[in-house]
Amino acid sequence: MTLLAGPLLLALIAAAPQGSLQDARVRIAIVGDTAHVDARYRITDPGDSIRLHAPRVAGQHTAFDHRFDDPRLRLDTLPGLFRLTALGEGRGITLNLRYSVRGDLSRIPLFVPEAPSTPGQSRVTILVDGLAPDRAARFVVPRFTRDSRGPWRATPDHLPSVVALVKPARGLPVPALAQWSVLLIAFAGTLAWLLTHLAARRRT
Amino acid sequence: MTATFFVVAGMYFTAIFGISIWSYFRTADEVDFIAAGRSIGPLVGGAVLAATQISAGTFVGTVGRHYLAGVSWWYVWFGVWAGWLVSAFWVAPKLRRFGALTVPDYIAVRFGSKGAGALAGALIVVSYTIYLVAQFQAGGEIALTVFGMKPLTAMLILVASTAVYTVLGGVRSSSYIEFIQMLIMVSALVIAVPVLLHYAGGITQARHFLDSLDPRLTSGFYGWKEILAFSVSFGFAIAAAPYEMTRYYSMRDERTVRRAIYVAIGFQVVIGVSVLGIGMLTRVLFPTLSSQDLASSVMAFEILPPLVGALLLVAMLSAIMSTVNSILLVVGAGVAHDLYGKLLRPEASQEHLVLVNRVSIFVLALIPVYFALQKYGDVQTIVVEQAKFIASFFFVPVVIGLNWRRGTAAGAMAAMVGGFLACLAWEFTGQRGFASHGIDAVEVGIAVSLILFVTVSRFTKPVPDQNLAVFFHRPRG
Repeated sequence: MTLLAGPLLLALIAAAPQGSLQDARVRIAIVGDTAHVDARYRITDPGDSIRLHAPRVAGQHTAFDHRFDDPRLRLDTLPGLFRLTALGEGRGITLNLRYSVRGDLSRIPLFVPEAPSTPGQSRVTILVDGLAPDRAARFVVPRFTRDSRGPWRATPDHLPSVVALVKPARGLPVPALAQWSVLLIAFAGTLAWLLTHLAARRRT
Repeated sequence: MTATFFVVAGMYFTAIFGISIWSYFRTADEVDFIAAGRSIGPLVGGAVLAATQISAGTFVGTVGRHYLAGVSWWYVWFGVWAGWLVSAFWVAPKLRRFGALTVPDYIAVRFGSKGAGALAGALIVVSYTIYLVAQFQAGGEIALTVFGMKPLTAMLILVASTAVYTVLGGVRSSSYIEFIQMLIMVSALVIAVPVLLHYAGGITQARHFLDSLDPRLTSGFYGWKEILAFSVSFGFAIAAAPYEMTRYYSMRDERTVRRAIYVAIGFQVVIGVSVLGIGMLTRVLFPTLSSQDLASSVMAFEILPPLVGALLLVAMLSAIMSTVNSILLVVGAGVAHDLYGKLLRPEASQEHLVLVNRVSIFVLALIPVYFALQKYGDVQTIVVEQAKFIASFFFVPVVIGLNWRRGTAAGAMAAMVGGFLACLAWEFTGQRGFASHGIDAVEVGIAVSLILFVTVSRFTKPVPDQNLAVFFHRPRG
């Protein structure tokens, strides 16, 4: 009986998101200091309208395709993000978005609909072409793989708001530093334990 | 990532089973099994208290709440810490001085009634079974997200591995394992935050994004009435939490207990700040998830570098296992020590009681698996519900009972039953109108419990002085 009280509280505190993201396919082509993004979304049960958000990244200039002038699509530029509002079309809606990002390409923004994906049922694919070899694929979000010389491919369960690439720079990137600090903590912990243990044995 | 996880997890499980086997050969009697021979110091003790408190509710549920609701959930921590301080000043030293094995032992002696002790034991078993549901559900969510594993399989593996190390070494192995678990949890959380911040573009960009996404994320998603209700639930439950109090008994002395509580609060401040950052930054990077409970495992699996992600996943499993372990010890002791040993077979030998305790742990670990598979709510909701009930039936007999000598057995039993029923009744009636009146079930439960305790105690026979002597320095003259 106690457990039945859970949904009551849940209903009080959390509003369920609308719609469901069935399919998202994003293709990013990097040419020089510009990334061309071509994204296609299929959303079911979007309601009267569905909103999509993408972060505005400092040091970038984003140019949107002229089709954003479509009266069914409204683009708002807010502090920190772009908001795209699309009017619903019955039981499902398909959106094709094209935009290009110029400047700092360490984080390429993606529009994420407010409709969540369902792991195992939805399909999310992100492809990146033209990634320079100095942007190692080891510390990128989401996790990419590559077959021979084809594009880098990621198939995460959920759509991220950015494709984060390693910025070519001197020194270790933050994620690499984090990896090293894990090893350092493990080593220091083992050493501390050994020293304490040895000291205790010497005392006895 | 999966291979890295298995390597890290393999090292971790090798370490904890090594400690369990070491402890097994050092466990001779019930005091060793339930209270680790009363040998735990302040640092390990503090880490153990924090590890017991930091559960799946924190790693999955609290991260999820920060993901959903932003910064305002953080204020609930003040209620948690207030509960710890109440415990440090008015509960823990007296309980440790008393030196019982379980909380129902305290109830039985303080109020001079085996019936009150048995009632406390039964309520503990019921309420903590609910808490286990949250832990198993979180384990299932993590396994599903990371490995695509069926939740039932994951839960059974979790039950088996946790029950084995609990059964083998009791509180002694649990204490040392939880110390290691605490270090893993703190390291993983502290390392994860700068990585997330790096991907999110820094604090300013993240704040602007969240402000525009939903202004309530950075200001106030919850109103003060809701924050108060959550804080009261956690604070009052922590002040009288049986699984925390059981750990006091394993520490050297009263001074050690108090110092351990301060250490535990220190660990929790670090964890609280990190969890806040993780929840909100995961919202920036994955703004739409089908359930907020997915936030922590998506973050560990999709965002963090493999080694850090693997460490965090192991930390989450550690959190779940340490809490499951503590609860199993409490409910196992509730059945074997308080119900079986005190009521059914008082003549049972030490070996027999330890065997009953171990069997109870295995059986009681399996029951919540069924409920966890039903998914009645998100993890944090189940944790909050359980805290409400613990606070409603336990706070008054424990905290007031330890500091007001006039409390009687009848008063304590009325307070436990009345508080529990009032909280339950309000959940299904008055709670629906919370938005207008702002009165939560936990507040009703505690108020009813307090009124019944004072009123019934006033009209019933006082507890004999010899029962009170250990809790109140001067016998009533």
